[in-house]
This record gives sequence, C-alpha cells and structure tokens, in this order.
Amino acid sequence: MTITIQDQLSNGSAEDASDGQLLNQMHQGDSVSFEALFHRHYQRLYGLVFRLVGNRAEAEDIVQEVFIRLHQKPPSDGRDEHNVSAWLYRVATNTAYNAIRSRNRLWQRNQHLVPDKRDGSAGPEKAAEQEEEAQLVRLALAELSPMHGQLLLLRQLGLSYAELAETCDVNPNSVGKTLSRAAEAFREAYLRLSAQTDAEEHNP
Amino acid sequence: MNEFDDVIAKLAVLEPTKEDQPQAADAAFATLQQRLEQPAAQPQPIPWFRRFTLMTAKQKWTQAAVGGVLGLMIAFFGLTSSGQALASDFLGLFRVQKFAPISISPEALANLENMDFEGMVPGELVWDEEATEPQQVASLDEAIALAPNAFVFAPDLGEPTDVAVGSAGSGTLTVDLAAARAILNIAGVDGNLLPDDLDGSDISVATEPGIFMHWDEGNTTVVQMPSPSVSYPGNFDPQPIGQALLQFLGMSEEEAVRLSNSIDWTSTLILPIPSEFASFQEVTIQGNPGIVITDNEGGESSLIFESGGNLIMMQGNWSADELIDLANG
Repeated sequence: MTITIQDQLSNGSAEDASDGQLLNQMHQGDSVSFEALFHRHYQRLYGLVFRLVGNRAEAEDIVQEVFIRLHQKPPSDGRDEHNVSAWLYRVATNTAYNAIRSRNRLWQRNQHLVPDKRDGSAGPEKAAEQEEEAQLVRLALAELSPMHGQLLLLRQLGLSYAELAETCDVNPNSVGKTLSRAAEAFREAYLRLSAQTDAEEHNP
Repeated sequence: MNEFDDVIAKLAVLEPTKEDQPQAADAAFATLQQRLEQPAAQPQPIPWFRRFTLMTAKQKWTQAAVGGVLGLMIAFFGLTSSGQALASDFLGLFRVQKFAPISISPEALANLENMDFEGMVPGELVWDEEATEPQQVASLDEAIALAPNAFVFAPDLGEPTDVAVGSAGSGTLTVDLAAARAILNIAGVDGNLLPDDLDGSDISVATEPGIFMHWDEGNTTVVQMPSPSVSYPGNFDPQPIGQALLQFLGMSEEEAVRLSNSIDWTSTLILPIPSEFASFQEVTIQGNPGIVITDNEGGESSLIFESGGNLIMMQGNWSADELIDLANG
C-alpha cells in the first residue's frame, strides 16, 4: 500500500517527509504538500523577515508573497532533493531587502517630514531608544549583501552551522568564515551609521 | 564577549515582541489560499516568444532586448528603462549600433527568469524618472508629436490599428558587488570574475519616449525608440563583466573569454536567444545590421535592427523572409 503525503499529514507523520519529498509531491499537484511546507517554514520565515522590516503586517505580507511564488513556480533544477529551504529563505531575504532598501530611500528623501520620536511624544523614553537602536541595526543590515544579512539573522535565530549551510546553500566548511565576514561588515556599517547619527544629533 | 557575539547580541533588538507575533499558521494559510484563488495571483504560463513581445509592449524594452555588456547588465541588473542628460561624472557611454545574438540553453533562460522572480537585485536601483505603461494615442501624427525622435519606420501595412507612446525614463544602479557575485554563484559562475572596484559603481540608463504601433494584419507590432544610453564611470572595464555575464548565459569559460575580447562593448547589443524555442539569422535591413528571430514552432518571427541611432523591433505572424520584405519595403 502506498502512503501519500496526505496520509502522512492526516496521521501526523508528515514531519517525516523531507522538504524535497514535499516539493516533488507539489510538482505532481499535491496541495497538501504545499500546506505542509507552509506550516514547516512559516514561523521561522516570519521571524527572519520581521527582523528585517520591523513591521508585523509587512512581514506577514512578504511571507505570503514568498509562498505565492512557491505555489506559482516551485523551484526545480532536476535534482531529486531540491533545497527548498534555501530557495524560500533566499526569496524571503531578497524580497525583504528590496522592501527595506526602498523604504530607506524614501526615508532619506522625506526624513524632514518624519516626527522626531525623541521629542517625548512617542511614549516612554526607553521604548523610543530601543526603536531608534532597532532602526540603526536595520539600516546597517540594509548595507550588507542579502546573503550576509540572512546568515547573521538566522544565526541570531539560533540555527547551527550545519543548519545555516543547508538553509543558505553555502559550503559547510565556509560557514564560519562567511559569518565572520558578515559580522565584520555589519560592525563597520553600524559604527559608521552610529557616528553619523551622533553627529546629526549634535549638529541638527 | 567577542566581536562576533557582540554583533549577534545587537541583532537581538530586532526580535518580535509579544505584540509582533504573526497570526497563527492556520489562519495565515487560509489567507494565503484566498490570495491564491484570486485570478491575478495565478498568471498563465506565457511561451517565450510571446513573452518577448509582451515585455516590449510593456516598455521593458531594455530588459527584453538591450544587451551588449552594458545592455546585458541592464537585464542582469534588472534595470528596465531610463532618459536624461548624462551626468558630468560619467565618462563612458553605451549606445546600440550592432547586434550579437547568442544561443542560450533552457537552464540559462531559467537563470534569467529566476533572477527576476526571486527578487535578486545586484545593487540599489533608484529611479529618477520611471517609465510608465505606453499610453494610447489617436494617430501616428500625435505619437510623432509626443515622441519626435522615435519615428523612423513604418511597414507598408496601411494605417495602424493602435498607436501608443511610452514615456522616457532614467535610473541609476549602484552596484552591490556581494549581491552581484551571489547571483553569479547561484548560476554556477565564479562571482570573483567581477572586479573588486565594481562595488559601489553607478551605472545610469536613460531612454527617450518610444512609439508602439500595431496592425491586425499578421498581428504585427512595431516598437521603435532612440537607442537607450547607458553611462558608467570612466574606470569601468566592461570586458571582465562581459565575460562573467556570457558565462551566466551558459557559455563555457573559453568561449566567453574569446567573445568578450572580440566584442565592442560600447556599441554591441547582446541578444540572448533560447535555442530551444527560436533560431536566428543576421540580416541587413535598409542597409543596416539586424537580427531576425524565428519561433521554432513556426508562424511567428521577430526582427530587430538599428537605423539612424534608433532601435526598431518588429514582430508578427510572418515567416522570417516575409518580415524582412516588409521591413525593407
């Protein structure tokens, strides 16, 4: 007797199916496999995208967009086991990066129109400071390549080196080195942007 | 705490708070299903040949057709339009004067499509003036009045059924070397072919208004416009980038080196032709160089040629010979 993914989902054993198996089922028109992939990756993709865009509605929308693309055109490169997670995280990161870069440009053009949260109207001082710090971190991330940003954020999300290699489709032997480069690039961008912000505060 | 741990700790400020938690996965999936059921969310697959027309009709002229190393960079870098005077700090300039068709494999075509589909952008693109969808006008005379530099040619098919004018556009891509290299790496090409000094380079593209004409006879479409101009810093060496992009399109390293060294990258438009879907031949139209592309399934042909600094693309349900005859008048 053949056990389908649908059977596996209904009896709770779909966890045993690999991403690649689910994708293969999707290619054969199995919508249940698509749903299984969604449930498997939704939370973590949201966590990644939210960290980049900092807005719940926008993050949810981007994650939905990623799965719409997966549904419309599932990746296929002829291999039996396509790295679906690498595809999902790459598309999510690229889409989020496009969103934040676009927003940063808009912000830079219109920053004279944005109310200064430090004037006390934005709530408790600590929350305002935290939001300011988050904005600075996001600006620094936006200056990295999407792959570097993705690696750092997924590491912060708690992924092991082996999981990072799988999810980001990088050589397992070079994960540490690539992470170090990404961290160094982030640090440089953060320090520079931080100095710029300080200078603007002292010379508004 | 070492520097790496310090960076990871800084990123913790981005963690979602309790209020930032997403809706439950079941509810999110229900929303997703609703979106998928909307017709607009499920475009029908478009044959390659028709897509070529569609891109043109949507003014994605440069993405569809403009190659050369810099034209190809436009496709590669996702630029789709542009049109203003060159900034004084740009010393190099690309304009189309000749064509170099290149057969590409289905895999290379998929690379090009996936790049767009997966949102991969090798840098930051800023539009100064974004080209709009072509606007229909009442007559060819009105189109010429709106786009005086565009019109150089009309086939002998009588009055066109539809005439439209596409607007000018201009934009600049600031190259993100890491992102550009990542795109090449994904396609199996060594990203280090791109030189270090490419990082942060500004590449500007400008297009002038174009004229779109359509005739019911033969479902014929003609698009014409002044050649888009691509400007780039004077220290910019297009050869290694050309090599990388030719490899991205599926050429072997040896072939790409040979071709990139023999092409005049300041004036040659590379046309990637998926060999699975179409064949091509070099032709002369009104004394000017051109390329005719024929759908392998037959029934449709497309012609692109240069005339007096303008690019003209013509397409319809004609054989290659019929299309050439129409173009030569």
